[in-house]
Amino acid sequence: MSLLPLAIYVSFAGALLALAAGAHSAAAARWTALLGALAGWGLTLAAAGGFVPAAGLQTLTDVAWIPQLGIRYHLAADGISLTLVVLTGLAAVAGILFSWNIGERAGEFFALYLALIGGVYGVFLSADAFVLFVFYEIAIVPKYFLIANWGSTNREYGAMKLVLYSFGGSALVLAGLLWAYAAGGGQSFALDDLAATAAHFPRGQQVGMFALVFLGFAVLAGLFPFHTWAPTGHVAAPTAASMLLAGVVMKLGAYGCLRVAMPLFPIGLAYWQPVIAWLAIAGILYAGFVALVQEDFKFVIAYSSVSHMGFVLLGLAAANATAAAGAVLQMFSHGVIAGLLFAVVGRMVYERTHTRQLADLQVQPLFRLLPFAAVTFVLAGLASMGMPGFSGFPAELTILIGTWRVSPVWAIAAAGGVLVAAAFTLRVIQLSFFGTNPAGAAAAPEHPLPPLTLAEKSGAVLLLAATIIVGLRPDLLLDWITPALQSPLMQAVWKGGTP
Amino acid sequence: MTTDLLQAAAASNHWLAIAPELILGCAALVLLVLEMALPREQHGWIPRFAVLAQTVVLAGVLLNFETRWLGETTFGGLLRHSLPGQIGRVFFLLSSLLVSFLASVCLPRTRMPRTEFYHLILVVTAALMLLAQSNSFVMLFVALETVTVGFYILVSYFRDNPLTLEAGLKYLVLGALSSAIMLFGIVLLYGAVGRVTGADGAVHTGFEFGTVATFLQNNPGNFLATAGALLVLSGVAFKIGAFPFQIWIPDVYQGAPTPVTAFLAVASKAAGFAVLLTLVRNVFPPLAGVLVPVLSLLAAATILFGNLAALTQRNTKRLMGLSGVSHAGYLLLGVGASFTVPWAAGAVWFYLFTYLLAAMAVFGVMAYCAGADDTAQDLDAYERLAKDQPLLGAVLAVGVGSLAGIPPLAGFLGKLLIFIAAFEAHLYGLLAVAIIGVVVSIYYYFGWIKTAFFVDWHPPGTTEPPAFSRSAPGWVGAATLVLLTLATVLLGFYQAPLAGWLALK
Repeated sequence: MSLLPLAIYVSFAGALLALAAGAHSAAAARWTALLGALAGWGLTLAAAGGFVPAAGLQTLTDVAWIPQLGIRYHLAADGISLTLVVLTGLAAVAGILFSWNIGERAGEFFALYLALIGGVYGVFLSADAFVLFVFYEIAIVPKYFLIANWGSTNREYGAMKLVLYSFGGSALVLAGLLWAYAAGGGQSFALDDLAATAAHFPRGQQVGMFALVFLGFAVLAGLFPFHTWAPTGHVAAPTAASMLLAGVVMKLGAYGCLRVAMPLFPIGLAYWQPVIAWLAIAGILYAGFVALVQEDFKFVIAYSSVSHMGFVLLGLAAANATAAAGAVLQMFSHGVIAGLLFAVVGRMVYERTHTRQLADLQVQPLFRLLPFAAVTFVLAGLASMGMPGFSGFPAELTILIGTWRVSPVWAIAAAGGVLVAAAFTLRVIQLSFFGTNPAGAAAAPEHPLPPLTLAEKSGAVLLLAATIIVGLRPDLLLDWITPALQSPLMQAVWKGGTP
Repeated sequence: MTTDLLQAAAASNHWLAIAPELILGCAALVLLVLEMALPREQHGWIPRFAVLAQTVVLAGVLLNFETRWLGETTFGGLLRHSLPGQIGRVFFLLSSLLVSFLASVCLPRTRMPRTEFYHLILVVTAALMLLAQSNSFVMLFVALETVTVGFYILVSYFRDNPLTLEAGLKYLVLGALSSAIMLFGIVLLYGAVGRVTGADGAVHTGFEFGTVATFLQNNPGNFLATAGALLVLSGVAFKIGAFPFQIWIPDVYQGAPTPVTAFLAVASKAAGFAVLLTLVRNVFPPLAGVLVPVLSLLAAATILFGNLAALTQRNTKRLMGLSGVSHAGYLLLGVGASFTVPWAAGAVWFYLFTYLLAAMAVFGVMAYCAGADDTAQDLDAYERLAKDQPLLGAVLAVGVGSLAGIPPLAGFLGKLLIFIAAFEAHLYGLLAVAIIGVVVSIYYYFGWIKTAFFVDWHPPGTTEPPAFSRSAPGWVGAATLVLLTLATVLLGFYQAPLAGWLALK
C-alpha cells in the first residue's frame, strides 16, 4: 500500500527516460514506456493485493508543502482510489500496446503520454484539494500536445477546444475551492478539513460553491451540454490518447465530483440534485441518439462515451451509496470498454483501411479481413450495450437500482438510454464489420490488409479479460468501493448534509 | 533661509543609507571614463565592469537586507527605508543584471555604441531603487522622471531602424503626457493639503506622504485631493500599462531593442507597482471607497484587453507586451485587495518575482532567436526550435508555461496567492474576470509552445526547412537561462524563503 505513490513517480521518471530513449530510437522509447507503464500498473496491483477495504482512507504520504497556506502534500487511498488507479495502470499499458506503431517522435509521444498517466495517478491519490488540483492540471497539459501533434481529423481545433474546456472547467474548480478555502479562514486545503469548515457555511454559499466545483469537474466528465469538447477531442486524438481520454481522463472529472464537490458541499448536492440528474439523463439520451446517426465510426464511439459517462453522473446525482458504487464501477467498466472500442476503431481498423466512414467500411467484408478485430469489437460492443457477463451490466444495473430508490422516473428515463445504446452499437457493428457487398466478393480489396500485430492482440486480450472478470465477479471491485462510500464524510452526503 | 534650517535639513542626510544607489551612479560615470581611458580593443571590459558593479551592489543589499535604517526616513523625509523598499532594490538589481545579460547578447549584433547602454541601465536602476523608497511626491516624481528619461533614450537606442524610432517617439510623447498628468495630480494634492505645522513645530508640506495621508484621513471627502489622487494613479497606470493607458505598449515593445523591452516589461512595470503599493498602503487608504472600484474596473478592463488583444499577435514582442498588460491586470487585482488584506502586497511582490524569472527567461530565448532586424521577431521564427536547440526550447516551455500559470511552476503560485487575497477581500466579480482571462491566455501561450516544439514547415516543393538566424547560447548564456528556469520550477515547489521575506500570510 505504502508503495502506491511510487506509481506517480515511476510514471514521471518513465516520461523522462522515454524522452531520452527516443533520441536513440523509437523502439527504445516504446520499450521504456511499456516498462514504465507496467511498473506503475504492477505497483497498483501489488497495493490492491495487500489492501484492507475496512481500513478506510489510508494515508500514504503526508508532508508540509506550502505551510503559509496550510497546503500539505498529502496522498491517501481507499477503495475508490484503488479501483481507479488499477484502471489507470491497465489503460496505460494497453494504450502503449496500441501505440506500438508510433514512429514519428516516439520519445516525445511516450514522454507526454506517461506524464499524463503520472498526473492521473496523482489525482486519484490526492487527499489535499490543492495537490489534487495541481495533478489535475498536469494531466491536462500533455493532452493538448498529444492531440495537436499526433492526432488526425481537425486535430488543432480539437486539441485547443479540449484544452480550453478543460482549463475553463478547472478554473471553475479553482474558484470554488479558493472560495471555500478563504471563507473557511484560509487554514487548510485538506479535503476533510475543507469539508469540516464548509459544513458551517450558510446554505446559499454551499449551493454556490458546489455549483462551481461540481460543474468545473463535470465538464471533464462530459456533462451535457458541456460535453462538446469530447467528440471532437476524441476523434482528433491519436488512438492511445483517445483511449486515455475516454478511459481515464473523463474519470478524473467524475472522480473530482465524487471526491471533492459532493463531500465538501452535501447541501449543494441536495439542492442541485434534480438539475444534475436531468442533465445526466439528457446526456445519456442525446448522445445516444446522436451516435445513432453518425457516419464516422470514431464519432459513434466518441458519442457513446458521452452517453455512458451520463450514467456515472446520474449515479452520483442519485446521492445514495448504491448508485454511487455503481457509478464507480461504471467508471472502471467504461474505462476498459471505451479503451477497447477506440483501439479497434483507431488502431485496428483505421490504420489498415485508412477510412472511418461507415459507408466505405460497409463495402468491405471486414469480419473476414480482420476477424480478430471483428470478434474484439463484437465483444466490446456487447459489453458496451450492458450484456450480462460483461462489466457494463452490473455497473449500469447498480446505478439504475440506486436511482430507482430516489426517483423511478429518472431510472426509467435512463433505462431508455440502454436501449439506445443497444441500437447504435448493433448498427455500427453491422455497418462496419458485417457490411453487405453489393458487387459480391469480387470487390474485396486486392491487397489483403496487414494482419494484426502481437501488441494489438495482447492489448485487446488484456482489456477484454478485465471487462469479463469484472462482469462475472463485480464483487471483487464492489468489496473495495462499498466500504469507501460508508466513510463518515460520505455518510453526510447520503444524508443530504443534515447530521 | 537661515543656515540653521539648512543644517537641520542636512542632519538627516545619511549618505550611507543610499550607498547602493550612489555606487551604481558612480559606476555609471566610471563606465564613461573607462571608455575614454581604455584602448579600443579593451572595451570588452566595460560591460563586465557594469555587471560586476551590479553584482557587488546586489550582494551588498542582500547581505545587509535588514539595514539599520529600516523604518526611518532620511534626507528631510524624501526617502523612507522599509522592507518593501529593500525588496524593490533586490528586484530592480536582479532585473538590471538580467537586462545586462540580454544586452550582451543583442548589442554586438548592431554597430551601436555599448558603453552608453550600460551607463543608462545603471542610472535607471539607481533611480528605480530610489523610487521604491520614496516618501514624498517630489522624490517620487524626480525618480520617475529619471527612469522615464533614461527609457526615452533606451527605447530608441537602435536608431537606424524606423520602427525603433517610431517607438521612441511614441514613448516620448505618451510618457510626457502621463508625466504631465501625474504632476498635475501632485499639484492638486499639494494645493489641497498646503503647508501644515506639525505638533513638534516642524513645517510639513503637501508633498510628503505622511502629511497627505493625515490630511486625507481628516478630510476623506475632499474633492480636490480625490481628483489629485486619481490623476497620480493615472500617471502610474501609464507605467504599468493598465487600460486605458496601454495603447503605447505593443508598438513600443516591438520597436524597442529586446533588452529594453525586457527592462520595460519587468522593471518599469514593477516600478509602477512599487509606487502603487506604497501609495495604497501609506497614503490613500482613506480613499478606499473611491479607489477600490476604480482599480477594480481598471483591472478588469486591463485583463480582458490584454488577453483578447494578445490572441491575434504574431510578433512575439507584441505578444509579450499585450500578455504583459494582462499580467498588470492580475497584479492590479492584488493591489485592489491590499486595501483590506495587508498580505496582498506580499502576494503582488511574489507575483512580480515569478514574472521576472519567467519573462526574463522568455526574453533570453527571444534574444537568441532574433535575427538581424530586432523588431521583426515573428512567431514563425520559433519553428523547430526545440529540435534545433533543445535548451532554448525547454527554457521557452518553462518560461511560457509559468507565464500561463501552469502548475506546478512558479507563475501558478503567484496567481494563486493573488486570487486567495482577492477572495479574502471579497472581490468576486473581478476574480471571475481574472479567471476567464487566465483561460483565454492558454490559447496564445500554448500556440507559442506548440510552434517551438511541433511545427516543422517546409516551403512547398522543398525538403529543406527555411533557415532561421538563431544563435546558440554560450556557456554564460546557457547557465543564466538554466538558472532562471530552475528558479521558476523550484519556486513552484518550495517558496519558504521568499514567502517569509515578503511577509506572506
